[in-house]
Formats: sequence, structure tokens, C-alpha cells
Amino acid sequence: MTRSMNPSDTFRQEAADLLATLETTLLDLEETPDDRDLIDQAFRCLHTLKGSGAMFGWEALAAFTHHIETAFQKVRDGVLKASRDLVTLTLAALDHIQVLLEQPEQADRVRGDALLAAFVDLAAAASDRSSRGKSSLPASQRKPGHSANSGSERVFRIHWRPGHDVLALGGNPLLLLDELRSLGKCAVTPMTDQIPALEALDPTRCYLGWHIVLTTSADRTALDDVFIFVADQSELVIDEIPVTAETPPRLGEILVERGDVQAADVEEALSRQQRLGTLLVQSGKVSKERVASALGEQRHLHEAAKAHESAASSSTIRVPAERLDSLMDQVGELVIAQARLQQTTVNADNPLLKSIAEDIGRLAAELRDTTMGVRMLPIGTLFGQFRRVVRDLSRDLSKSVELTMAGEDTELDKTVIENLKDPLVHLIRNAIDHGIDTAEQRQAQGKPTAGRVHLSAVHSGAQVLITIEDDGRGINRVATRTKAEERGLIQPGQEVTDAELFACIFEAGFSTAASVTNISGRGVGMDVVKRTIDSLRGSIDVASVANKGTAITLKLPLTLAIIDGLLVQMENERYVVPLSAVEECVELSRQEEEHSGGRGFLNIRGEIVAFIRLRQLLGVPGAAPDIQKVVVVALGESRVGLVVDQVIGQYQTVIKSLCRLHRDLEGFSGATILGDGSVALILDIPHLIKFARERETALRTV
Amino acid sequence: MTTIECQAELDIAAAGALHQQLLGALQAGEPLEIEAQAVRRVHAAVLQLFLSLVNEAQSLDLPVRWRNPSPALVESAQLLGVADQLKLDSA
Repeated sequence: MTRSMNPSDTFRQEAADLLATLETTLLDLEETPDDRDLIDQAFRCLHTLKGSGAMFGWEALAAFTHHIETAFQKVRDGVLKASRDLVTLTLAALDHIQVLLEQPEQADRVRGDALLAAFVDLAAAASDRSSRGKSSLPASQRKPGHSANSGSERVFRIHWRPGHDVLALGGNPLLLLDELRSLGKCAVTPMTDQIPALEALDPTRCYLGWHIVLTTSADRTALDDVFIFVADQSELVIDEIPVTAETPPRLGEILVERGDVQAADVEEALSRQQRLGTLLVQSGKVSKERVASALGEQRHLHEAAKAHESAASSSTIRVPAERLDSLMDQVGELVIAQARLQQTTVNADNPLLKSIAEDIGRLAAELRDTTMGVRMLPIGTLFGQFRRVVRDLSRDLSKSVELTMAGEDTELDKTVIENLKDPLVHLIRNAIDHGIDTAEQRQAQGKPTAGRVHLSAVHSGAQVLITIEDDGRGINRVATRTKAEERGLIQPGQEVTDAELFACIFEAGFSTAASVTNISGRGVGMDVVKRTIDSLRGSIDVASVANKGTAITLKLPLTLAIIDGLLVQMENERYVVPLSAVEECVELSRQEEEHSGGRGFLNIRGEIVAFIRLRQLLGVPGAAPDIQKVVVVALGESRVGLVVDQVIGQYQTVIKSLCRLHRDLEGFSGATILGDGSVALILDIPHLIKFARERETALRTV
Repeated sequence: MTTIECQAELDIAAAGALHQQLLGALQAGEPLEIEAQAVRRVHAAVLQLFLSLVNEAQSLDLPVRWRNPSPALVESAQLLGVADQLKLDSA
């Protein structure tokens, strides 16, 4: 049984989410300091953090957050500006909250107090300024929702006709409507039918009335408060319109309910099937204004219903990650059991059993896909964290760097995303520290002063490509080569391709940086990046153009748990080729093999494809059958054939990692258990081909 | 063409004088132009006056045009829901 989460853990998780949201909001706010929505969002995050913190007994955290919340209250009131300084300070405060959250006993009180003092100073400086030139916002410019709670929006219909002497008594409907508007979204339709001709008009008498539809999170009392001084002298009706996720009422229904028109008139108008509102107005049953007002109400209800619906459909539950992991394990076992069942039914002469086995096979495949879908997270959650990294780094290095992103919606397995964070941080740090040149150098080359780092993610078959691109100085080929020769990675005079040269930068302890900064240049990092990506069964491509920039592409599998595979056989051994890599299968007769002259090339519809004899490569004993099969796999641009004895067929493969003893075996990415209980190795195509090429080269040079 | 110049503060106290001014302008029987650039504050009573003017001018087939209506005026008219009828939305 999995344990349930205790309240403290729940709060920790909630707080971590809030802090992440807050960080993103602050970084956005730095770019658009006047965005009311962002200010409100930051305030709400702080407010919730404080509230939940106090509720779950995190007093120190709540007390600390309270002061920051106060500062943001001032921002909301227009007293304090959401300046760069405030954002920087708040980000530092977030780090402190993080410590309070994770290791409260290690929190540095002095630092906390210093941060709070800085907030007080900032607020004091601002109130000095504002008392000199006060610019507090009128109600109309304040955003609605001081106690914003979009989940509980209500719709009110207000019919208001002030008494004739309301103006003479000092009332101004404008101020009242302004106040109403500050409560939420307001649709105001005037009733102007009582305005007399100009000559007969008494300018101090009020002839106007209003139909108002208000969508608000405020309650009825707040509405009554708005009208408190005029209610006695007014015709005032406030009704709450129930909002349901069902279809909102139609225009006719609203008009009838409001008593503006008879149901029969609506029926009659409907039967003519033209625009209902126009028809009713034409037939003189209702004024144009009333129809407009009813239409406004309908719009409000539509929107409120939509909000309700999306709130309902986007409801989520929080599940501990271990449960998902164990679910995935169980699905894996189910898939294996299903394979055994299928194997058994093949030999059994029982149609009923076969049909059940097929059903179970289908269900297992669906369950597998659903479970994998549950584990998928958009990579944007990870990318978002790098904005802070870039911001802080560019400050530290006094380089102006702009971070752009694309494909944040691309989904990847949770485990892959978790493991990607460190390598990506390394790559981004490298890009900014080594890649992006100084402002002067950039200007001299006619580049924009601000450097650019671009993060992107895109699906490509069963892989996800993540690219970190900068427009800096590019990798210095000469320095890299010198260093590589020094370290004996490349022989002097040896011809190497860019790919081979750039591969050197992933060697442990390799750095061409002349100076070691506290950011990078120690030669630690790139080898860690390579190891991590390898462990995720991914690969790294580097492209670099001098003075134009560097692009590092990480190719990663979508998931680590289950793949579709093609089962192949040699003698009695079976192997799995990942189906995503397979392009086609062709036959290879003995004549053809001999015809190729032992050079290992095959003519497939006019295209020359090199093939690798897996028997030889893997050292399988015995003689090959007369007719062998070639599984053609795609590897980037090129195609390579793998010669096997027999192709058995498609097979859902649950990947089991190899034991520690075998983990370093190149050419295999794992193993799987087959239906009959035997074990098959999963071929790691890129590594296998690399291994074959190296062997070939070695053989030739001998 | 008769031009009506609006003052900055169109509060309830100004409504009486403006009423007379509008009546006079209407009686001239010429197209009307309301210069409203200076308006900083406007009272509902004044907007009501303008509504009556626009309605009546319409029935007399006299065009009414706003010249440079200030943001304060347009916003107040929108708040009162009468910007459309006053033709201040398109001005």
C-alpha cells in the first residue's frame, strides 16, 4: 500500500508550486512592470503562501512572507513601483523562503532580517515619493478581484432607476457605476426612454436608469453596500442569476423571465426564424435597449458558464511520483504477462482463448499508452526555471543576454525531464560564459549588443530534440584541437571531422578556457552532461560556426520504460531492435551476399546501403542460413542494414536495465523478458553502428 | 455650423449654464460641433444633457459632431453606458 501524504508534505508541495509560479511572474513583471494581472498574481501567490504557511504551522515562513506581501499590496495600490530593484529583492527573498521551507533550522535569521529591512527601505522611499506627488488610482483603474476567486464567480442582474432628485441630493451615478465596475465585469445598458426634449429638461433631475449585469466574485452584501445611500430614493432590483455549466438560457427565456416580454410573443417571433431581438423590437414588443441589455446578460452568462466548465474540466489531482512509477512497473509486468499469454495461445487450438488473448493484448497496449501519457510533462516546466539562471548569470557577468524559447509544450517522460535539468543548466551556463561574447566584441562584429540564447524542444519520431543555441563566438576549433592533441585525444596531423573534434569537449577535464571563472571553465560539466544524456539513451550533436554561434542538440527518447520493438533472431538468441529506428526489412540471399563481394553493401532500389553482419559483430557461433534478413535502420541521415537470421515480428518491449556488471557493454541499451520467459537484449543502434565502424577501421588499419 | 466649447469641469453646477448654451445652439438650426478637448471631469447630469441634445438634433436632422473629446469624457460616457448613443465611441 502506498502511504498517504501528510499535511506538511502537502504544504511543501503547494509552496514549491507557488514559489515556481511566483518566480515566473516576477521575471515577467520585470519586463512589463505595469501589468496589473502579473502584480495581482504575485500578490495572490504571496498571500496564499502566507495563509497556508500559517495554517500548517510554518510560522517563520508566514511571518517573513507577510512583509513581502505588504510590499506587493503597496504595488497594487500604486504606491510602490514594481521596479527592477523590487524584483531582484523579491527573488532573493524567494530563495530565503525556499530555505525556510526545506531546512528551516538552517535559515539565516540575519539574512532574513536584512532582506526585510531592504523591503521596508524600498517601501519607505516609495511613500516619500508618493506623498510628494500622490497618484493613487481611481476605482475604475483598479483591477477587480481583491478577494479574487475565479472559481466562485456569480452573475447579478441589477435594475436601477435612481429617484428624480438623486442629482440634486448630491448623488452622481457615475461614481456608483465606477464602484460597481471595480467589483467585477460589468455590462451597463442605459434606459434613456424618459429623457425629455432639451427644452423641457431640468438639468438637476435624473431621467436615466440602468440595466446592469455584473459578473463578480463579491457577494450580495458588497453590492448592497454600493447602493446603500441611494437605495431609498431608487427603483432598485438586484437578482442573482444562477450560473450552471449547462447551456445558459436563450435570449427569449431571459426576456420572459425579466418580464420584458410575453412567452407567446417569443414563440411567435421564433416561428418566423429571424434574429429574435430585431423581430421583437420591430414588432414593438420591447425596446431596442432592453434587447441589448438582455443580450449583454446572455453574454455574461455564456462566459461565466464557460469559466465554470473549464474550471471543472481542468480539475487535477496531485499524486506522489512513486505511485506513478509503481503503476508503470505494474503495466510493464502486465505487458510481459500478456506476451506470454499470446505465445501460449499461438500453440493452443482454442479460438475462444485466442480472442480473449487479443482483447487483453489490445487493452494492455492502451493501458501502456495511457500510463505513459500520465507520466508525460511539458518541458516548459523545466525551461521556465532557466529564466532565473540566465537572469542571474547575465547580471554576474555583466552580459546582456536574452533567453528565448520554443516548443515549451513538448512533452517528455517525467524521469527524462528530471534528469535533464543539470545538463541543461551546464549547457546554458557554458553558452553564456564561453559562447556569448562581450558587448564590445559583439558591437565590433555588428551583432546586436544583447546576446541571445534560444532553447527549443521538438518531437521527431520517437525522439525529442532539445536544442540550446547561442549567437556567440562559436567553438574555437584551433584551441580545441590543440587541447585535444595535448591530451592525446587526437594525433597531431590526424584528419578529423567537426563531429569528432567537438566530441572532445565532452571528455572529462577538457577545457579551453584561459581563465577559470566560478561559472565555468573548470572542465567539469560537459563530461557530466554527456554521461547523463547517455544514461537517458540519448545522444548529443554539436554544430558551431565561428562568430555566429553554437547549437547543441540533445536527442532523447520519449520514454525510458516501454518501447515498440522488432524481435529478430540469430541461432537461438533473440534481440530487439527499437521499432522507431526500423525503416524496412529485406531479404539477403547467399548469392546477393557473395555478389556484394564481402564489402558489405546492398543495393536497395538503387540506393547503396551498407550492412553489418550482426553474427560477426556479436560473435554468434554457427553458420548463417541460406536466406538471411536485413533490417534497415535509419540513423540520422544515413541508413544501415543489420543482417540477422530471422525477423520474428513486432514486440512490445519493457526495458529492464542491465545489471551493473554489464552496464558498460556498448551496443545494448537494456534487456527485456520475452513471452516464454527467456531474455532478449535490446540493441542500441547508434552505439552499435559506432562500434561496428570502429572495428571496421581497426581491421582495415591492421 | 455652431460650435459649443466645453469647459474643463462639467460638474452639476455647470449643468444649468450648459443647458442654456445647448438650447441656444439648437435654436440656431445649424450643424453642431462640440469642442470637448478641455473636459477633465464630467457629471452624469451633463451626459444626460448631451443625450437629450443628440436625440433632439437627430429628430431635427441636424448633424452633431464631437471635436477632440477628451479621454475623461469618453471614459465617463462608457461607464454610464451612453457612449454609443452619444456617438462618442467612434469620435
